[in-house]
Amino acid sequence: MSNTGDPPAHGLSPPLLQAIAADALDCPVDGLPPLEGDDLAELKRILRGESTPAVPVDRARAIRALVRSDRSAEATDVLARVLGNMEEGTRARAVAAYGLGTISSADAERVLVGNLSAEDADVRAEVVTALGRMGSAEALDRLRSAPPPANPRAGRQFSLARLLVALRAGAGEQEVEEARRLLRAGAGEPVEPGPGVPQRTFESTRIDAPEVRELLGMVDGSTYGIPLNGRVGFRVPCGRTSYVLFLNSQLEPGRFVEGVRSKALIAGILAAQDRVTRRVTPRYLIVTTPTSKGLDLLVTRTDGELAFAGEAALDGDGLRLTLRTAGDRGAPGRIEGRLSGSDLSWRLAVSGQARPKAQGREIPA
Amino acid sequence: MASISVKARASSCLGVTPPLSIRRHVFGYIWGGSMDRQLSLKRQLDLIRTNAFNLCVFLVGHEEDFSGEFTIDEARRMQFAVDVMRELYSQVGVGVRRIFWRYIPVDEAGGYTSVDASEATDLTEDFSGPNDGIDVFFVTTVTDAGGWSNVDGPCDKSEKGERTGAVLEVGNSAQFLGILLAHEVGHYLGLPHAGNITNVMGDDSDGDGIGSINGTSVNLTTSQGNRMKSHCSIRPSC
Repeated sequence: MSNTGDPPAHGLSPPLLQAIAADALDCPVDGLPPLEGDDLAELKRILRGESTPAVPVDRARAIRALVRSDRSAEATDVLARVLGNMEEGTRARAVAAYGLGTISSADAERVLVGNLSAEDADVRAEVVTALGRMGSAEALDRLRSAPPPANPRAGRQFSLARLLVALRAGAGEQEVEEARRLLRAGAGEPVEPGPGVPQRTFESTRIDAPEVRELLGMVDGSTYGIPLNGRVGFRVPCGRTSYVLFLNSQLEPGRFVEGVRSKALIAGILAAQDRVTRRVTPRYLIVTTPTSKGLDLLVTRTDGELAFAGEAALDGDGLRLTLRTAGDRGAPGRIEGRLSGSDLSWRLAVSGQARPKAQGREIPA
Repeated sequence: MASISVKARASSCLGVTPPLSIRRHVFGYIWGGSMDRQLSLKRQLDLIRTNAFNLCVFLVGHEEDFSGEFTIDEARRMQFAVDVMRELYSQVGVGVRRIFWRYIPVDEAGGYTSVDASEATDLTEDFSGPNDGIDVFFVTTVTDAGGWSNVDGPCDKSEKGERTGAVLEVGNSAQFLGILLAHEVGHYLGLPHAGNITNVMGDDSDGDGIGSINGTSVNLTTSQGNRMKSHCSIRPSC
């Protein structure tokens, strides 16, 4: 890579070499700019097997480069070939599935649906996750008929994908209810801090445009195919982490209650903001379902682990929210709040006694 | 004199008693294979006494007979990476004291073998090692980066909502994996990106919070070392 004037033996430009080479000693792993022009065209040829560079290629890294560079039908086709090729490694196929989920087109969805039965469990899990992020009615048909994974965690991701796709596709009440039932099936009974247990409390504050729009620009990760409201959001400092609640844009200020009572929906995304980089990563999804008494509420992690469950009771012209910790792992907690036509206020009280994490197993020397 | 010193230091800092294997007990390496180790025994014994931290390395989706996600070569690569990190940190007087090697079996790992930024946090929210060491999780695939870690990570691993460890993809050359490991653990110990590609903490030229490193990213400055030494993960002198 020195400036001697002689072209390097491998014939690749520095950006392309950095993007694909398996010999990583000169290859940044992330933060690379998108590839363009001849480099992008050559990257696609390499991934299609039409060109073989004279350097070892890390296919997964090369696919990441394609995903950050191109959302075209041609890119979809390249990713489809990788995903469907059983001679590719698991990493490459998993990253291809992830990439197709970020492209979010009908073609990409069709490819993902076609790989729902991939024989490789890791690839299959990534396909399910990707469909959960962007799938529509076509995916719902296949998810409904596909056998759920035996592995509990993969099963949760599968149930979440089915619910999210059903909501996005505007599926009927029965379909949504069945998907909700599956998601809740493995979760423990809701718990809240017992009397006398030390608690930490956190309260939300409203934020408006332009701060919400600025935060939306920092989102790193899927927003699950829902348009997010850029006019109003909520911030919740929670220990060392600051969360931002982005609302579905279907919830218009002044009509929040009407919006959530109109149909089941992904009402919002709760995202964690990094204290240093300020990047915002979606961590939880808020799913609301109208009931005769108000609302049913679920808060799930993005991997399908149920975090909180509860309801919102009609209370004058608003809704009174009560949720409790629902998963097996979170500290017992209780959320109370109120949703009016134009505002949301809530308070989280969480036990200071966290439940222990799993510790894995020791590797014997 | 030297053997007395090794025994004394191994006992006071590592909690191990003779018979000792230097490789196993002092350096904490459990798999065979070439290590290209540059750090002398004397230097390692000095480094673990003060300004040192413990490391808990998780292999996610592993089985003891290597029938899981990782081969023995990949396990050795992780071990080599720890060694590279140890040598990079030695230039600023920061040591790696004890290494706990753990694994998450395939049936418990579920989809955690392939993670993105959010799932990396889920992983550290669900699993952790002892509270006195920094957790490092090796996974097969990180779909959206080479690895993820918080800057200035917490020492209380019951902390929810943020990563309580670093998560790395194992699919890199051993040398580069070591630099990547040093980079991510460096974040955990409080270091932001450095604005210099030859620094372990790399460059973030566009300011988006995602840094770049490469094979030349091997330097650390005295002030970075001081910052690392002030992190809560640094163990008391022994």
